[in-house]
Amino acid sequence: MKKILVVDDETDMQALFEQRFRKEIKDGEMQFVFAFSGEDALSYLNSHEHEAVLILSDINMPGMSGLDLLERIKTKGYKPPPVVMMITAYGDSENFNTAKALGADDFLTKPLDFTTLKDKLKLIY
Amino acid sequence: MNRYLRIFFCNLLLAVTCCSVNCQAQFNNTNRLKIKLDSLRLQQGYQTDTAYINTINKIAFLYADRYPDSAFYILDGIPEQCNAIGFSTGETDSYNILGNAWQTKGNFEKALEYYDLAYALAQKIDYKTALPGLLGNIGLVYLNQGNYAVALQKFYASLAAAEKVNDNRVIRSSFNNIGTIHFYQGKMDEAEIAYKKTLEISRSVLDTTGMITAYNNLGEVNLEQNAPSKALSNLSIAYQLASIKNVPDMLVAVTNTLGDAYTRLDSLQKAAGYFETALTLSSRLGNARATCKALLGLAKVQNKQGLLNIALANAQQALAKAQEMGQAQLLRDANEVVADILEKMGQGSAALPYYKQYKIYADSLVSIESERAAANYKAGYEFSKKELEFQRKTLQQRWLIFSALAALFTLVIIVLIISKSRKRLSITYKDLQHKNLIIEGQKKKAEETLSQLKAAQTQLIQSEKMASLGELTAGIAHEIQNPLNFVNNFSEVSTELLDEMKLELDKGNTDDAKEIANDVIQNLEKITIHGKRADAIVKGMLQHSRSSTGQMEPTDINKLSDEFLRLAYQGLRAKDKSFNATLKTDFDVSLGKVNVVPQDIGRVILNLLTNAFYVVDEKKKSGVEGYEPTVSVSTKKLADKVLISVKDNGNGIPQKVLDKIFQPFFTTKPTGQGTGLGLSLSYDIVKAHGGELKVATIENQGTTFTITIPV
Repeated sequence: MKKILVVDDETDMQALFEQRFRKEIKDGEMQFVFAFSGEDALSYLNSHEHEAVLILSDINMPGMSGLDLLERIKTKGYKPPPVVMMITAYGDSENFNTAKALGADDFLTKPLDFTTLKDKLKLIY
Repeated sequence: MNRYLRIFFCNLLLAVTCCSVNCQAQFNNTNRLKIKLDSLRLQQGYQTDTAYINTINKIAFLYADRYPDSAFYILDGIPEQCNAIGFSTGETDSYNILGNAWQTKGNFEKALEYYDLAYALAQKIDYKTALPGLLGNIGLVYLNQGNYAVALQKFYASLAAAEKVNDNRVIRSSFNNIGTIHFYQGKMDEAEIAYKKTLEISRSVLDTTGMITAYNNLGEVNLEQNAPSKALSNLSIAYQLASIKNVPDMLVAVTNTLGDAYTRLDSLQKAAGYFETALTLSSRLGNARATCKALLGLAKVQNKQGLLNIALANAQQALAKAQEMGQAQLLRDANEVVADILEKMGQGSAALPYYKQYKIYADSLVSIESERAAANYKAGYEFSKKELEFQRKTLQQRWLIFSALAALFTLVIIVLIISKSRKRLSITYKDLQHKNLIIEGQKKKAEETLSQLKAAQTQLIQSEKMASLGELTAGIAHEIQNPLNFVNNFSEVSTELLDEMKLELDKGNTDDAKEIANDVIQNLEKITIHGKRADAIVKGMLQHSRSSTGQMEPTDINKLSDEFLRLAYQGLRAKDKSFNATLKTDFDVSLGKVNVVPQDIGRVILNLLTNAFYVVDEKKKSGVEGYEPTVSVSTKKLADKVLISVKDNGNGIPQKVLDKIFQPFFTTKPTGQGTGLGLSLSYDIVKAHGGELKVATIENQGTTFTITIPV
């Protein structure tokens, strides 16, 4: 069972993921958890330490941004270290480089191609 | 001036001849026609009876000039009926009458469409007697549209066709119309020849009304030719004929023209007498047009006599009447007279709007549809010339008063100096002359600088608008991307779900199928929500880029503030990815809708927010320990006003610049980053709403701007 934490300030992302991964969820292949801000995501991670989690995070969020979140996750040194994939509407080199430098495992641009995402999730895990 | 009368007249005459049946005898006999119609309806299959159709055409023809809608109503289906039974002359007549009705309604394109139909049919079936009238009607459309060249060509064609079939009425009205075009174009000699022809033919067919019109028109031409005595002799014949034949509408028209003639001759008493008679007569007849002309004539005479107050009252009454009728020529003349009188009264600034109206109507009359835009432009240009001239005059007056005072003062000094030394006097005088020259030169320079400054100011205001639009665009692009992604995704996933649902149904799993159906419904709802979200963003953008209409409308201030908060934030984020701030909102839900100009207040909110984000970002970049950039927007409803506050936790505004921040061009941003107009414009906008824009600031802790709008 793969556990994936999706971080995005758009609440409808939950419904979208639940439907796009309907089959995987039904077959018990994947489990999704949702956080609607960087702060929420951190508190989830802190209360579920030692749980292997894959994180999909939006960059552009009010308050703590996705890059802030990434930095905190990578510097905190969770065990096991979570895989972090960054999502953003701005597919530019600046965000990409920052994310890479901060140790992001992958970088996705909106609009999300769910077929590619599915492949990646299955591969990386 | 009696242009409308002429047009109306031609219209009437032409329309009479263009109907295949002689309707003139029954002009006042709509009732008799209706009785005939009723009796015809008693027969079986009356709809296909040509006598019935002819009667319908006769009634419609009488309606077309005054009640076009009724004409449309009773002609409904008639051309088709004619076509079905092969009654082509009836069909031609119907089309022609429909053209008349559309012309009365002022829809010249439609009128032309029907006249063309009628003309084509008449030619096809060789319906010769209908052709001259039709050509004349087509000419009238062009005349009404201000296309004199084509109109003239059609009237000549109509004349030729009428001569072939010896149709004296059309010959006469063609000449009359040709004369009218020449009159409009200021070709008085040619107009005179045409009107004389009209007179000749009217006389030969013993048409008194035609003769009166011709004499009256000739009188007008004479007035334009500056031959008032000739005008008087023509007009007196017209007057006598109208009195003998007892045609009151003509009598009042001629009386007005006589008034014009005597005004030209400067026999003001006599002129006033004629206009007063015309006024009494036209009021009794209920002839609004003639009343308006009489009032205008009176105002012009009284203006010449220096009775400005009563002249103004009459002119304004005439203007009101002209507005009621919506008659362009009269509107032009009335505005001109009102402007003239006001200017004479020394109320130059009050006269300007009337002068502007006058120019607009004058220019639009020259060429009605096609060149209206150009006319407006030209009117605006000449108006601003006039305004400038007026401003210069006022300046000159002020300068005069100032010079007078200065001269008086100088005189006293000079007298003192005289008593001391005559020699010094001449030196002083020369010195003064010299100084005067210098002052004159400086005044010119100052005026030049002022106009340059005005141009620069306009440009700056424009660039401030563009800047705030630029701030929005990036935000909008981002804001719109998210809802569109959702729309695409949810529709794709719904298709997948429906495929799955079909499988489940095939397997007979209705419960699963139902569950999927519920998901699809939920998705469709989400698609709608996100579609609307994108829609609202685009609408907001359009509203912002559109220049303000200045229209107050009930506006949801909370929604407006929230929209602009998101847009301002995303706009900055798009420009600078490292930028981040905590947004807080505290909206008073009891606010309801408030009457404001939404684009304008939106611009103020956007401006305050942009400033707030700018200062918190500056503070963050300066590296203050543990600093959380925060911007909050709140609204509050009080008893008689609404408050909108934008608060930041930046460095605050130093006391020494605090009283300058609302001044135009004041900015603390680096050169090129701000126009320094944002707060100044915001201040003006809030003032224009009768409200206040206040600022409270604590150094190193932040600033709160509060917009107060009375409700």
